[in-house]
Amino acid sequence: MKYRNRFLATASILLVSCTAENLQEPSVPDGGRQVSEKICNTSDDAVKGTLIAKFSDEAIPFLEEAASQQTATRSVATRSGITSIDDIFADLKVTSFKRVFPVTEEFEASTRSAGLHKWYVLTFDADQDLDEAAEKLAGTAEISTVQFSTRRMKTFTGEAYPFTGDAVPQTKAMIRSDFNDPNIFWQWHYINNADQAVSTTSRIGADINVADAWKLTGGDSRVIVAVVDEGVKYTHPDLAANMWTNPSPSKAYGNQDIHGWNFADNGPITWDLTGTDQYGQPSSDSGHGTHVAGTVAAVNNNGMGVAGVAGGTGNDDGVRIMSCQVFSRGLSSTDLAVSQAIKYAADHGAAILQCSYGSNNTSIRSDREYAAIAPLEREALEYFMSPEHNTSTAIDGGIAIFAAGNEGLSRSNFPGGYRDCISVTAIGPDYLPAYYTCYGPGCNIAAPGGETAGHSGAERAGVLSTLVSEVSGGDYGYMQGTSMACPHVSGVAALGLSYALQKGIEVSREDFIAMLLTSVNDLESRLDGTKTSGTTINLETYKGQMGTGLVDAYQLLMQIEGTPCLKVPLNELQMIPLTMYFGGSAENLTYRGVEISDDDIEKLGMPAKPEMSDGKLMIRCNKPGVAHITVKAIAGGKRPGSETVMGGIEVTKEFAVIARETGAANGGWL
Amino acid sequence: MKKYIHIIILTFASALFFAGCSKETAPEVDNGICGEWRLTSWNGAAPGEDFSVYMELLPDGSFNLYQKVYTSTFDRYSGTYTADGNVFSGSYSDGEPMALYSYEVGEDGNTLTLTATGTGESDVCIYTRTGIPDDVRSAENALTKSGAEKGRRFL
Repeated sequence: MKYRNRFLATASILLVSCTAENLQEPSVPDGGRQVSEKICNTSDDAVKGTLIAKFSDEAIPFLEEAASQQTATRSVATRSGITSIDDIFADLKVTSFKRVFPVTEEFEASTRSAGLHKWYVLTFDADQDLDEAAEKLAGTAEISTVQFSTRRMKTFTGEAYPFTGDAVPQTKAMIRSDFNDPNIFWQWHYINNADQAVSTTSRIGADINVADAWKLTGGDSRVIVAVVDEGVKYTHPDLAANMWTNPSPSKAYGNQDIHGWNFADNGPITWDLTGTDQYGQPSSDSGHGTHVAGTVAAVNNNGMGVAGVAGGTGNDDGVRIMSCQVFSRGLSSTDLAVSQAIKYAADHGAAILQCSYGSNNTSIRSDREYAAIAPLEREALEYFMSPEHNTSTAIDGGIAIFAAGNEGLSRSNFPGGYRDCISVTAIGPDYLPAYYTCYGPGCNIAAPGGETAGHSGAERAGVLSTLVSEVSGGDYGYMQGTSMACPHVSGVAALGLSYALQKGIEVSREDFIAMLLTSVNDLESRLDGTKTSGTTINLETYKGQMGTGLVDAYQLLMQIEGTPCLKVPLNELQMIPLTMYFGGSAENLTYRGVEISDDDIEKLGMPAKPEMSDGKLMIRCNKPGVAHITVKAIAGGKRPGSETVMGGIEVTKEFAVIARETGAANGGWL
Repeated sequence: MKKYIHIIILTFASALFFAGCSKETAPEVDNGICGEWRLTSWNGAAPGEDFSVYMELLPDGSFNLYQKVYTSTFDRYSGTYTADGNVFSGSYSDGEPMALYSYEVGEDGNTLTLTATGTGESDVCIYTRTGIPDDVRSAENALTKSGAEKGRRFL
C-alpha cells in the first residue's frame, strides 16, 4: 500500500506537470452568484479566451446570414447577427466566431441532421473573466448550452525508450512468424513465448494471439483507423505505405488535409514541434501518436523494423491510418479539438476511432455526468458511432476505442467509460494487470500495455513500436500505458473488419462489438496474491475488473467466420461452459438471461428452460434435434452501464444447440 | 529403343496386375453409395445455416468428411468405411468408431439415407449427391490441425 500511495502521489505530480499553457485557474465559487444551468461544466482546466456555445434552432438562420455576409466581404467573423449577443461579443472583444464543425459541401446534410451545425466557438481576449463571459452568454435566449473548452490528456506514462537494435537472443528462436520484420522478435505483445530477456516473469500467451490470425489476413486497405492523438509521422519508413490519403482534400482545411488534419493547431499534421507550457517550461511532441499508429498498422513483411497488428502482409494490404491530431508540442488537448477530430474521422470513412486519451477530470462517475459536462464531445462520438452519419464502408457505424487510464483508479476514465465506447485496460508480459492500469466499472477488455519498470528486461517489457526519430533519436522504441494497450484492441478490431470484408461477411456494429469483447483469453485465474513491478499491487483487487479478458485476434476471426453449434448429449443434465461464445473468461461473466422459444423447448424435450448457473449453461434435452438459444452477458463488470451507473456493455449471442445421441466422440458427424 | 519399349510394356502390365490385386483386397463397398454427398436433412429438418456436412465416399473404402458443426470453419475427418448389404459402418483415422447405420440409396441414385441403429433415439440423415466445393475441400484436418493441439487457443 505504501508503494501504491507513493505511485499515486508521483502520478499526481506528473499529471500536474503536464498541464498545458493557457489554462484558466480553477474557479472559486462565488457565494453570491448563481451559475446558469445552461453552463454545462466548470472553468477548471479550461482554455482561456475560448467558449463553446450551442444555439437554438431559431437563432441559426441569423447566424448563417451573418456568416454569409462576412464571407462575402472576406472578413473574419466576429458577430452573430443577433443584437443581444453581439453586444456581449463587443464587451468580450470577440476576435472570431465560427462554427465548431466547418461547412463542407459533402457532409453538410449529415452535420445538420445530427444538429452539430448548432455548435459555435468564439475566441476573445484571454484576460476576460471566463466565468463572467459564460454567464453573459447563458443569459441570452438564443443560446441553449455554454461549454468551457476543457483539456484532454494522453493516457501514457510519459517516457519513450529508443530501441537499441538488440541482438535476437537464443530463446527468441521459439517465436514463429510468417513476416520478416526483424524486430518482431521483441514484440512480445504479439507473440509471447516467455522470453527471459523481456522479463523473468514473462508468460507464454500474454499476447494478442495474432500470429495465427495473420495466416488468414493481415488487414485490408478499405478499413480506416483514425488515430486521435499526436500527429502521426506519415513519412515514417514503416508507416508511410499504410497512411490514409484523402481522395478529396477539403477547402475547409485549405486542401491540406492529405493524411488527416491537425486540430490542435488548425493546420497540417506535425509530429516534432516544441512549445512552452504554462509554467514556462519547455515541452515537445513525444512520438505518442506515431507509436500508437505503429501498433495498429506498421507495415508488415517489409523487411524493416516492427510489425503492426493490421499492417498487411507486405502487399499494400494494411489497414489505413488517418491522423486526427489533437495534441501538439507536448501540450494537452481540448474538448473542442477532440470533438472536431472525431467528426472528421466519421465524415472521412474511419471505422475505428483509436483514442489513447482521456478527460483530465477523473472524477466522472456516470454517463449522465459525462454527457452533462462534455456535450460537444458526446455528440461527436454519437455521430461517429451512428450508421446514419459514419461513412465507413467496413461497418454500419464506427467503433470508438479508448484507453482506460493510467491512474490506477478503480473505474475507467472517460470517455472510455461511456457505455457505448470500449475501454481498454493494460497487462504486462507477465499476464497480469499493469501496475498503473485503471480497472473496474466502465472497463471492457484488456490488452498488453507493457511495463517499462520493474522487470528484468527493463524497457523491453514495454510495447515496441514506431517512434519519431527527430524526437527520440531513432525510428523505434518502447512505451508503456493503457495508451499502448488501446491500439492493440483497435488493431485487432481492424483485422476483424478486414477479414469480414474479404470473406464478404456482413456483421452489424452491435454483433461485431459482441464478437470483439468475447474474443478473449482468461485473466481471472491468474489474479491471486500480489505483484511487484512499478509498484506492488494486490491482484485480488482486479478480479472481475479488467473487462472480459485478454483480447485474442485469432478468436475474433473465427467468430466472424461463423458460430459453432453447441453439442448436447441426450438424456443427461449438462453444465456447459460457453467458452466458444463468450471467450476464455466465460465462467466468470455475469449473465443476463437465456432465451429460447417454447416450440424449441418442446422440440428437444427439455423438462425445464435452460438457464445460466455458476457461469455454465444448465440444460437437459431428451429428444434429438436443433434449437436456438440466445444468451446475454455483461462485457466488463457485474452490471450493464446506464445513465446513472458505470458498467459494462451488454452482449448477446445466439447459437444453435444440437441434441444428439449419435456421432463420434471425436466430434465427427458420422 | 526396343529395350525401352519392353520396359514400358512391363511397367504398364505390372500396374494393371497390382491394381487388380488392390481391388480384390478392398473393403466391401456398394458402388451406388460412392461419390460426394451433402447432408440435406436430419430427422426431417434441413440444417439450414446452422451447420453443414459434406461426405466423400471413395470406392477403395476410404472416406472424407467435411463438417462445419461444432467449429466456426470446416473441419476434415477421414477414415475407412464398409457398405455391405444395408449396413454402413467404419472408423475414423484416429481409431474412433463411427456410429452404426443402415443405409438406402434412392432409386435415382441421388439420395442416400443413413439411419442410426442400436440407439434409443431416431437419427435419420438424408444426403443428396452434390459436388464438394473447393473452399470446403481446403478445410484442415480436425484430427491433426495445429489449432487443436494448443490448449489455450480453443477456437
